[in-house]
Amino acid sequence: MPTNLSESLRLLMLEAYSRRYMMIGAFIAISIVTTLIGATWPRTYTSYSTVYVDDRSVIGPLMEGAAVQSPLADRAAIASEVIYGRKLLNQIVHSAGFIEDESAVDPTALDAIVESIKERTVVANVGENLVRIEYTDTDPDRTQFVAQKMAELFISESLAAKSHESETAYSFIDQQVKEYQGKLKALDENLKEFRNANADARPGADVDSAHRLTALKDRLAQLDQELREAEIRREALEDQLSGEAQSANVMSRAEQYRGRIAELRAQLDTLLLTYHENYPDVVRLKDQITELEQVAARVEKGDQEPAQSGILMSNPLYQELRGGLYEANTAVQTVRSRIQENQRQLANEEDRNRRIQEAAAELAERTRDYDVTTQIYQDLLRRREAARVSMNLDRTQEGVTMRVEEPAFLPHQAKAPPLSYFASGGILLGIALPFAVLFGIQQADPRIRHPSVISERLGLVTLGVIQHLHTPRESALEARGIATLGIATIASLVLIGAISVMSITGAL
Amino acid sequence: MSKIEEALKKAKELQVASGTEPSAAERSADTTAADQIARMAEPLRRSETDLAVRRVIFASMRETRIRDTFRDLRTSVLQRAGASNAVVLVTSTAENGGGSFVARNLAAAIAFDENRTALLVDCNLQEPGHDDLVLTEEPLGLTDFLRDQDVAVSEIIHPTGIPRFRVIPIGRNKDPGSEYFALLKMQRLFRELKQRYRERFVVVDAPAVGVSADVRMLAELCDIAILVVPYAGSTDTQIEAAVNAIGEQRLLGTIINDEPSSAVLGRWI
Repeated sequence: MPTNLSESLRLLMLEAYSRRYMMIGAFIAISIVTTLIGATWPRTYTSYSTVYVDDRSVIGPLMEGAAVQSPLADRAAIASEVIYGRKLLNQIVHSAGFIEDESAVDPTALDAIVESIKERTVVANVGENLVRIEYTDTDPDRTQFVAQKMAELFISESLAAKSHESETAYSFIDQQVKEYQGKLKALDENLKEFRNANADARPGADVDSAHRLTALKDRLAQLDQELREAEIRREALEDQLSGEAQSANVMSRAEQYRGRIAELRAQLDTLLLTYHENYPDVVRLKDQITELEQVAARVEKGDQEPAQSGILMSNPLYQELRGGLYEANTAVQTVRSRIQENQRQLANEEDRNRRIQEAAAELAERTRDYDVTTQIYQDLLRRREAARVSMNLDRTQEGVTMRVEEPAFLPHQAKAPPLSYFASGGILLGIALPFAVLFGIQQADPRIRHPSVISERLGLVTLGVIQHLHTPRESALEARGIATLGIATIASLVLIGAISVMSITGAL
Repeated sequence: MSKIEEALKKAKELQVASGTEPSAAERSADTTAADQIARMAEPLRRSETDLAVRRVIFASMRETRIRDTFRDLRTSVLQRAGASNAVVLVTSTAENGGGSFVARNLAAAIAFDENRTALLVDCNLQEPGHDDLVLTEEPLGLTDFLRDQDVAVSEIIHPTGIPRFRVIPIGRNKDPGSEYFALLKMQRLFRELKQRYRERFVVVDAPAVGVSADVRMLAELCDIAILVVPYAGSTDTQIEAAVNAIGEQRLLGTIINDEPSSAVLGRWI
């Protein structure tokens, strides 16, 4: 109320003194209560376990190239999802002894426990693949148990989820395989039907046909040549024949015989080189020669009667030419007919070749579908085998991608604010708070306490301030009261000290 | 001060019996003030403890600050009164504001001065509180005088056992409902009390403003008024209302009463 600060403080002290019982009482109450709060402040223990997590999705590597995988999220966030999950926390609540009576569980109480566990659990990334699960509680054993259990449950939950994932992946791929198998079968059937319907539509038929066409064409060209040659020969023979007399050049029969005899004698000489005179062949030759010599002698005698023996006495060259001409004619005829045949074959082949080309386009298209499907099918088969292996690995949990890297430890160091803070803070608060309240009351109270207010605000003369005049009885009471308050204050300080000592030694 | 010393000597020589009003003959005009006071001088019949119990200041008291405050207050009153004596009204802004305490000790402070006498008149019908100063039991007082024609002024003025300090108690007929102070007799009494002895200062202990309308009527009869403001007991508006009730021209000033103090720690706080 007074504008002067020192006067305000003087009045504060005066009123504090006049309310000394209340002030000391408040001091004792505040300081002791604060110390007690400090002494009974719950001591918390913190433990943590570290889990190695390699949470690459199973389907990712399996479907690499064939499907696009979504990018990996924060590992701690994924771990949090699992650990803060209701399923895991319920298991923790039941296994860590948070509930004494399992039969009478109040759902709201359970909710509160789960929430409080959640609040005291911190999941954080500590390394590339390391997740730390930190848990804080008032009981060191339970702290360790929960930190360990969380890590174990997290791993088993995750592995179960992973196993499920790989099974899903396998069944998906398996289904795809079956689908493609069906598709492939249908395409196969389709292709077979087409081939049956189109006999020429064999692989390589077009090449075959082309070869044959070429062969036929070559042959035709050769036959043309042959024809030309045969015709030239015939023309030449016809020319020669026209200049030769029909019988001028006919050889006499005797000469023919003699010629024959000469031949036989030559043969005989040859045989005699090797064989004896009585060798059957030699004998037969000698007989033939003798016979022919007789015939020749008879012919020489009767030269003018050629018709006697029926042998035509014509010109032998002419005869030969005629024979040649005849042969040449025959050859020309033959070649011609062969050319015709060849041309027919060529036409046939060309026709067939055209059909083969048409069928080949159709076949190529069908074969392409078939090939692509086959490729995918084989790829899927390979992937299915990989998925089966992954699934089996996950099922037997041999392909471990998660493990407790660092198991939870039993915490020994309790975390609690030091009691000395509470004790000293309580003493300071016990002094400061009542004074502050009193000061606040003085400032807020509109009733006048200081003469300066009267003179300044009302403009009235102030004649002074009269202090309270104590009667002897009041003085005696006051002295006794101060002694009592002093004892009470000392007692409360001793009590605070005792509480501190008991708390530190663990008696409280 | 030679006059006072002379008077004291005379007083010792005469050995006048104390406790009674001076006789009519003694109140002659030619007697000096000093002579009169000396004649009515009385020995201190109260022990210091006796006074301390009754919350009356005395010269050798331990609480010098309180004593000096009352001395300063007395000086202010004397300055305002000038050459003559005065009737001083003491009232407080609130009930139990300590008006009676201030009135009693203002009278005691005036009585310190050997040239002056103090007469405390208890006009507080609601909370009369000066009977403990009177030496006799069941003393006649102001109400008896106002009610009863037979009661003389001399009968209601009682010694207190403190030199130069007398008191008119409230009396036996205290009826808070009665309009005593409007009576003409009251005016005459005050005039007589003031005029009989020029050195006598009349201190009127009036009820608190707001508790009773008496204070307005009493103020009319007084020359000087002192407003007691209890520590942390009144607001600005209460003080303003009190000033209006007693009249600003009469107001000597305000005084804050009952600031907390310690008997044990004394001057340290």
